[in-house]
Amino acid sequence: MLRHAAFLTVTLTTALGLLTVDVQTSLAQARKKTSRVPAKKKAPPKPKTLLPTDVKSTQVEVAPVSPTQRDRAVASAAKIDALIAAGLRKNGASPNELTTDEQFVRRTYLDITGTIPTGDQTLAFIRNTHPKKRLALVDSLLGKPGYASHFYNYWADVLRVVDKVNNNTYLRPYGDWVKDCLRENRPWNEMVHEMITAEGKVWETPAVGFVLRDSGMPLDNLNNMVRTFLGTRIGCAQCHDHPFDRWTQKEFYQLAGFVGGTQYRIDRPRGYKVNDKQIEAASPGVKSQEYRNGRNILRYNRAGIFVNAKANLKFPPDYAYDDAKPGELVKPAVLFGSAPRSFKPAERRKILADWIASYDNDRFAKTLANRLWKRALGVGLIEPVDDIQDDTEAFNPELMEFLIAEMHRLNFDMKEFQRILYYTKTYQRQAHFDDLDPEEPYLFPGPTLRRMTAEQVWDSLLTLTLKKPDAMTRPSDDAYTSIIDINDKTTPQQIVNKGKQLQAWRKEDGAARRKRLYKGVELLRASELPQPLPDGHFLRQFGQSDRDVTLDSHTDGTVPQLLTMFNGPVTHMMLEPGSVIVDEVMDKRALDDRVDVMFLSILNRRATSDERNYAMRELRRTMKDKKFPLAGHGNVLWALLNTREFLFIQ
Amino acid sequence: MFSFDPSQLDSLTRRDLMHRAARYCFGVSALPFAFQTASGAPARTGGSDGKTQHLIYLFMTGAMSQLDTFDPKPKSEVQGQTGVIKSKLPGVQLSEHLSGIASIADQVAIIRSLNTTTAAHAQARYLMRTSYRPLATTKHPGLGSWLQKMKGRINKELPPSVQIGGGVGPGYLGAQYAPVPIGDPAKGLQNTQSPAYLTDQAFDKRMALANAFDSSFRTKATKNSKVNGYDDLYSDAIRLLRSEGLEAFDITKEADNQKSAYGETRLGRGALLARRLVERGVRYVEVSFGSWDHHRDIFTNVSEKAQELDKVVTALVKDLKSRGLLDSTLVVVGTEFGRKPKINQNVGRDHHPAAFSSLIAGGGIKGGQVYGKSDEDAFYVEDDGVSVEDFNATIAQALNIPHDEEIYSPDGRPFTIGNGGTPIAKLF
Repeated sequence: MLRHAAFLTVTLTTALGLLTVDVQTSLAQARKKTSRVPAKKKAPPKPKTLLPTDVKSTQVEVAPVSPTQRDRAVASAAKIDALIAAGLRKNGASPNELTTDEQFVRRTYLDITGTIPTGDQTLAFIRNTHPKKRLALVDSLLGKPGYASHFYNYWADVLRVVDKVNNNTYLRPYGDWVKDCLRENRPWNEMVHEMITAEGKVWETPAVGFVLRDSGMPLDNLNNMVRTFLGTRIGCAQCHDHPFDRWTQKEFYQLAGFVGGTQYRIDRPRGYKVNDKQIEAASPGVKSQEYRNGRNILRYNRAGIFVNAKANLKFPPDYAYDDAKPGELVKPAVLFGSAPRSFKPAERRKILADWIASYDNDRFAKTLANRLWKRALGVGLIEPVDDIQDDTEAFNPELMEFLIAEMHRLNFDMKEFQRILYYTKTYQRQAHFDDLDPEEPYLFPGPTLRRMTAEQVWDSLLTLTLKKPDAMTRPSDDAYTSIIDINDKTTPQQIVNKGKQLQAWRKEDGAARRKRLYKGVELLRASELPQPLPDGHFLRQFGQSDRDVTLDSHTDGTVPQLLTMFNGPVTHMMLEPGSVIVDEVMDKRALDDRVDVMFLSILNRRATSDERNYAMRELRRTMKDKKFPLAGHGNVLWALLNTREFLFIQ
Repeated sequence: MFSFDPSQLDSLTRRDLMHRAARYCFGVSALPFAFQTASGAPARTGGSDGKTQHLIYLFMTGAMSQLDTFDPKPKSEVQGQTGVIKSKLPGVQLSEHLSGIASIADQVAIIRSLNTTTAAHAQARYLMRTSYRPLATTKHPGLGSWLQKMKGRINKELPPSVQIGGGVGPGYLGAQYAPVPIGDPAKGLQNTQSPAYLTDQAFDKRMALANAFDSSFRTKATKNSKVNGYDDLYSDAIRLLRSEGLEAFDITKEADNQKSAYGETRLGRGALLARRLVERGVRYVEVSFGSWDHHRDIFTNVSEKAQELDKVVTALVKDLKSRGLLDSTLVVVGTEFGRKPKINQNVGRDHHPAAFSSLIAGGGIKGGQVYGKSDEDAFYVEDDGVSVEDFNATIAQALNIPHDEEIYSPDGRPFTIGNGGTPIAKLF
């Protein structure tokens, strides 16, 4: 049976035109095996393209949900459902039917872990008869590596996570820190407080990344900070009074007063005394790799967040209003609510962080709760999620208030909050398929139909291909940062030596990376790939953000996406020998069972009887073909992947 | 309801795919109006009505030296080792590396008085491409996306804007205005090569299968414009795969003498591809070429770059002219900023935003002139300074895009293509 499966696999891929093996040889072999001639001891031809197998795997630890909080979560979910029901009733509307198990299992895997379930996982859930299996599935998925990976993709989009800000500023530890926080389920208020107040180099205090991300642009960073954490846009007021909101330019500058004195470089006199010239002298020359590496090491080490207590913000030279003069010192003040009036300059950021990430700042919990609601249900209670104004009213104000209270009760525990959302009947209802009327509030008869994010498409294709995609993580950069780290006493010669070490490290890193390649594409979860990916990468094509501005990903279809699905290497990888889907399909002998596996793996549902007949007819149609008996298999798989049903989350 | 008679489905699908030509756009968004062609621009099947339709932008990354290309100063010691030659225009000299351009100087305009506000590569590139400084909060569209937005598309099969080797995205205009990226001009458009065994017939079979499997989902989603928007995308994609226009992306189809005229270099191939695309109605092609960041040994390094640029620009202008496309195609050679005249201790030139040069030709631009003047060392602008905004407003004017027409980003901010710049009247 095993040998049989192996042959079929080989023929399948050739039949699909993937040409991973020499057609003639494999066919000759195939004929031998089918005619039961004792096989010669000749090794099968080595496929030209292989799925990566020799990849280091890592155990990813993710914080589990607490079993003792389940009842409380169930009660909160019921309260949400009651508030939604009241909203629907008031408008004479009714909720959608509950999802089928098939719909629920697919949606929940995609929403919580960022990928479709495997065929086996789908079947296991459908067959499970436990009355609380939905709650159990939610709980289990919230503790899986995919939870942190998928959630990270969201925050990387919001926070604009990149590996490098520019050639002088390394930032990868920041993204890794965000990912670690999500794995450990650190409370959001703690994370935010740390991001606003952190000082130092990024590999020492990775949370500096939030501010360092906008190196040299403190006002833009402030604008992003308020937009990201408080869902409020004050950017217009950077240059003039806000035309659509109440913020004045003076208020903007007063808030910016808290980030006065921000430096993105270690001051030269205090910092490293080594300069490029000295590195050049200690190296074999300006064209040598050691010199270039050494120079970069120096630059990277100079970058970081440092606060100069003596520096203060001034009103800009073109300040045009009467309430302050150009060049006048700004006295820091918060936009609303209250903050201590007197503090030392060194405490400015702490005061700002205290004010933003506070239980008293209504917009802080509101923004987070609304973001997470939107992630689960497809639409925010407030839209857009980061343009909240004084008169903004949520689609369901009582629900918004309740969610804020819950967020406070849970002390910004994002996982427990999401558990409640996924427990609701509202979440478990059939998706709303029709376009939303922008003039009408959405009453949440169920979640909205959504196209998968770029990362969900990519990660789902990986699920269909690799046996343990979650255990394949991006190699840590610890070795790299320990090489590049220098201090005041590091000599030019030592820096050049580090440059040499860096070369050796790169060689090793490159070799390890090559093992993860399939047709030049690195097969890791989206969250484990470089941040962001280059233009033209599958993920970027499907809408991943280039991370320049916040929440800039999209789920719009484009022609290049379809071309990729038609002809790209990533669609074909799952049809290679050794891929999950090929193995599972070929493991079944009966064509009927194979159709089941195909549907359960790709669309996570069983075929209707018409679909089954149609698929069977296609499988059989080519079985008589001497050359490509399994072409029909390939056609059915290809066709399932190229449905809209595959790309959308119901 | 679902009776999957394959023959019936096949015919349905074909009809569906082939006759969906009405609403056309390369991307799809959730908003229904995204399907309308912009500005009601007339759809033409290529060619020219005498007005400028296309833009080929050769972007010199790394910042091209003005002294070693379009604005030499033979009387100054800053000129260093780069010699000068006469051009076809009386009294106008160019760097010795630009002999080809010198010979067609009567057909091109040279601007010697550009100046910009930043000497950082990424920021300057962004400014040149969008007319705006980069912000951490809003992303601005590049000229290709503007052109697509304001003028619509000409060829219904090919993408309206293409970027070879880099560029900026569509910014707040959204995915449907994104230029299609091409990494290597020799390889053409990604994923358009179907496996040999996959005949059109076999492909239709697959699509018919997919439609059959998709039909229950589609039935539920009849009022979802995002789902339905894929109809247009599928027909676009399939039409593209089967179109004769796809051949435009294959520069190997070009005659050998053409290939050698442009040169078997990255820029040469890129420009040749650009010409092939423009010829078939693509609106915008940007070709990036670098790096000109010559902090060291500039005289050795710049000669190679400049000669390549010279060969390509000369070939491109001549080629467009001989095909009658020069009037309808604007050709621009732009860069990030200039280079400091004073030669540094590494025999290089450092960054210099105060004065730099560019070339602009075709598309109704009055050739045979030099606009603006830098001082004796090409350090400061002396006459007729041109800001980046003015430069882009000029490009807009050549393309018949109102340079002061405001469009709004989704968050309600107004933007114009030239960000307040004024077109240079003397160039028209």
